[in-house]
Amino acid sequence: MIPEFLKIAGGTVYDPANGIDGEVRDLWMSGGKIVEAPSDFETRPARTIDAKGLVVMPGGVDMHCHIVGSKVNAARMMCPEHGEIIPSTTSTGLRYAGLGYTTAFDAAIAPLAARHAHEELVDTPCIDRGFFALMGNNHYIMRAIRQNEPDRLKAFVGWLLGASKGFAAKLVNPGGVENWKNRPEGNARDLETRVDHFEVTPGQILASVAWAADELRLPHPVHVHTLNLGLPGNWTTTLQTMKRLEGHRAHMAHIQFHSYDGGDGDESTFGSKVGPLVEYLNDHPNLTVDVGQIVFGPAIGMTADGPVGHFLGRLYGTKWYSNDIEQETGCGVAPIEYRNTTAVHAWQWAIGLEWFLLARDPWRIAMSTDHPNGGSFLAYPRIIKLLMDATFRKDALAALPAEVRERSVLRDLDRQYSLSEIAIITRAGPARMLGLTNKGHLGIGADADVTIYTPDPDPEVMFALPRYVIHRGRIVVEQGEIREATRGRTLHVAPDYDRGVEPDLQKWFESSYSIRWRNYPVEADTIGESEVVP
Amino acid sequence: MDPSRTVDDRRIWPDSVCTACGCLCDDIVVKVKGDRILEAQGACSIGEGHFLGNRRGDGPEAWIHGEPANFDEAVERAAILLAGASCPLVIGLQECTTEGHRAAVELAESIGGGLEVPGVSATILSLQSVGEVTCTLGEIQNRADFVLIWRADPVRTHPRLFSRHVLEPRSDFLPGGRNDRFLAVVDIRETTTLKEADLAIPMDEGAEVEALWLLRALVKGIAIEAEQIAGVALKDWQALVERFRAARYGAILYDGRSNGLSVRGIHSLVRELNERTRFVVMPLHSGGNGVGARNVLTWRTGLPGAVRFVEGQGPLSSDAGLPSATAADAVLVVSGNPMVMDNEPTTEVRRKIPRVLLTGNQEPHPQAAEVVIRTAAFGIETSGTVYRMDGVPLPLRAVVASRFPTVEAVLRSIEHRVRERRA
Repeated sequence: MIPEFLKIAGGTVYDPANGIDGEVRDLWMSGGKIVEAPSDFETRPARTIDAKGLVVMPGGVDMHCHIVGSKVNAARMMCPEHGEIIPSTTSTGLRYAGLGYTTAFDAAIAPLAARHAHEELVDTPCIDRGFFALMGNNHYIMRAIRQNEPDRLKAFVGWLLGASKGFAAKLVNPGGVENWKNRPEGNARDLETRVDHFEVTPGQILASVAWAADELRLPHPVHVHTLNLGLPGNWTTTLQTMKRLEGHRAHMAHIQFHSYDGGDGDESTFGSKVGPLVEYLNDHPNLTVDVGQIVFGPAIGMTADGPVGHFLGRLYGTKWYSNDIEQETGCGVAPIEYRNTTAVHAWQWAIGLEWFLLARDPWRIAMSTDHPNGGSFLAYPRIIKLLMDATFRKDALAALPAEVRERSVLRDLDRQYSLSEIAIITRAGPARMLGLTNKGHLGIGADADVTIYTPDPDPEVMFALPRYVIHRGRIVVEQGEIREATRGRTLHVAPDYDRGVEPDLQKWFESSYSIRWRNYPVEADTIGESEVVP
Repeated sequence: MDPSRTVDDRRIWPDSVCTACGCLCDDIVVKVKGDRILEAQGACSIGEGHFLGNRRGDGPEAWIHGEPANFDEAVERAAILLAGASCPLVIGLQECTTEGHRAAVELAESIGGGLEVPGVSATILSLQSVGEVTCTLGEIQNRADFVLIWRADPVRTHPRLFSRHVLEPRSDFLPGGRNDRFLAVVDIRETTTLKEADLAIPMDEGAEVEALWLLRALVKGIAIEAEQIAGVALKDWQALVERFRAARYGAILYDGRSNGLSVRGIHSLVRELNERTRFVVMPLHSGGNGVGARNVLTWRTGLPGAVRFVEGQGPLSSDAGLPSATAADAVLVVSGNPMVMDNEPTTEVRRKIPRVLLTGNQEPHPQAAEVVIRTAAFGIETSGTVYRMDGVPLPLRAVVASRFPTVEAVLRSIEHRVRERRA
């Protein structure tokens, strides 16, 4: 059979992973992949998109969002009035495609509910997707640490990712959630806090799982939501966390929420401590971050950090959903409204932007709103404009309360992101951080995920309305309209691990869980089209 | 993956899920000979009835107006009824897997109809007003040193709940099992569960809401002057509140069919208790997969409970001033008990409207609806995903083959015919 080709002709290509910064080129694709131009000059593509004067980039990659599974669905049930920021699976997929994104990862799934998450992923069209499996408060992991059995821990992480068909190891408030399950004000305030019953510390959990992820050669390293999210003065814990991860690869999630100055109870001391943290990041290539930028307006706090959910529900006096998941994690959901007149919210907004503008290496900082925690992913074009247009940014800063306007370093930052840098933080960088060698670039053999934009003096307009979006070689968006809701693929890992651990694991499982060992793993034939990422 | 093995002439299915009550016990060993279930090892009496009561259905695959019909004729008639209606309604969905739920959502969308999961409005309204502080059953199993059963009789309705999850289990946190736990029961009548209680509080009928608000007040430390409230001495209520306070990880379980005000009262109480100690709450749901239906409807449409699809507008909340169930002019009951609708005030209206029934019942009433189409028996002859009452998803595996198609297959056939008719 003669392969069918799709050609994008004459576009201005931004493909930073391959060192291409705004060059006019043709792209050929076939069988869902980017391919060489056929050597036979007679070959005509089945379809040619004339991209003359248009900007061509790889499809966007969202490496940290919350779009599926039991907590998202609980939020949909609890807050239908916020349907715009927590849409159905169908709308989520279509909106990502409409935004030029073709890959997204849910950052927090309890393995016990992995089956549910996969059912929703299958129903999310137009994007390739996967999730990170929660293990920061996992009893078996804490037991293995206490008993000083790193190999057992490593095998368990491998087993858990394989059984849940997850993509990466995720830690959320390691040890702190377990303490909160045990005591009403229980939590972990620093890396040396003892975890009740288990006699281990958050610092040990961090270092052990980071080591295991490296040892298992997972494509994405340990993905860390550290202690004290959202609390004044939490920057010291964040810095300690980064130091504790030295010697390992690690990703620090929604770093904005972890970069606060200030002390207990005194709101006027709240402020930014991006300075020392970004300096540490700049000097330590083993680390990457995503920002978790907030946008003013409605959001939904949604986290595996149970005590944070409780904190938010109490702080704002809103409805509050909490779900403790046996042996694994917690879960909290509460609506939030970020206001630019509230000093703390204004600080959060400024702190996110300080991160983007002070991080030296765009390859190690990714765009995210921690959707929907900081706001919807639909805000990305607005955030891009804030990064590309210093005047626009300074005007926005001028509308904030005086203490933020005057104290944030933002007022002195004139940096403006280039198109190439935007391409890095929205696709090339996150794909590289995730270890997805087929995503985030347009080289031969890459997945044919391509977004074509119409240049516009206003970057928000340009990025909000892609002209074409191509997912695995199929045109999903054409002239700004959805043409086809493609079926995406679920990306997961299948690490090799020492199966000798299974008898002990099964014994522990049967004595602890409310379901049977046999019914826990998610079968490959139930997750739709999928791909094992090596 | 098929975990079954064959011993002599018997097929043995380990760790099978029982859908007879909301516990969804997943440790049942089902032994099958040919198409007959011989034994359901580990099942309670309700579960045994569910597995052993299954007989391979015989007779016609469908009826139209009570007359035997073949599958294609019945599907055709169902498609005509639904496509011709101006306000069709899809209802039921308790007795099918999420694969069936997805097909139901897609059919409702293509006929521009409404879709309703009955019996969930009280818990959803409570969730939407105060939220919910809950957990998976394993947390209660491992941590709950205090359990309050509020107007429910799980010993009868969920026979293995106490032994598997709530009272008996020993754990690292509660090594003494039952001895480390305190059971309180509040009810209006003498129940089997009440007899097991360490603290039993029989209250007056109709006083439920009053009692809940009293407890909320006591928990908040508000002084109450009364000798007796809801037919119970104040000091007994105070004793209960003392137990709340002494709990490290308390759990309140209540009947999933409770009325809206009670549900809200219970959930508010649990939220307030979390100011002082850890507390969780869980409704005890009946069997089937209503929890799965609610989940699928929510992730597919963004709206829980009830939606209406209006062409060009996507899914809309059915309480957004849109035609309600009473306005429906054709109803499709998907693999639920058709009687479920008869508990609702709209019965009279619905009795008059043309109805299509999909049922896995072995002896369906041929005149239960204008069109009756038989499906594989849920929980016995069907594979797929089901959701336990705490939201934990489980794999259901068919232990015997069926003569009849799955709900999903029937719904897709109807949808296909609807589309063909349109074209």
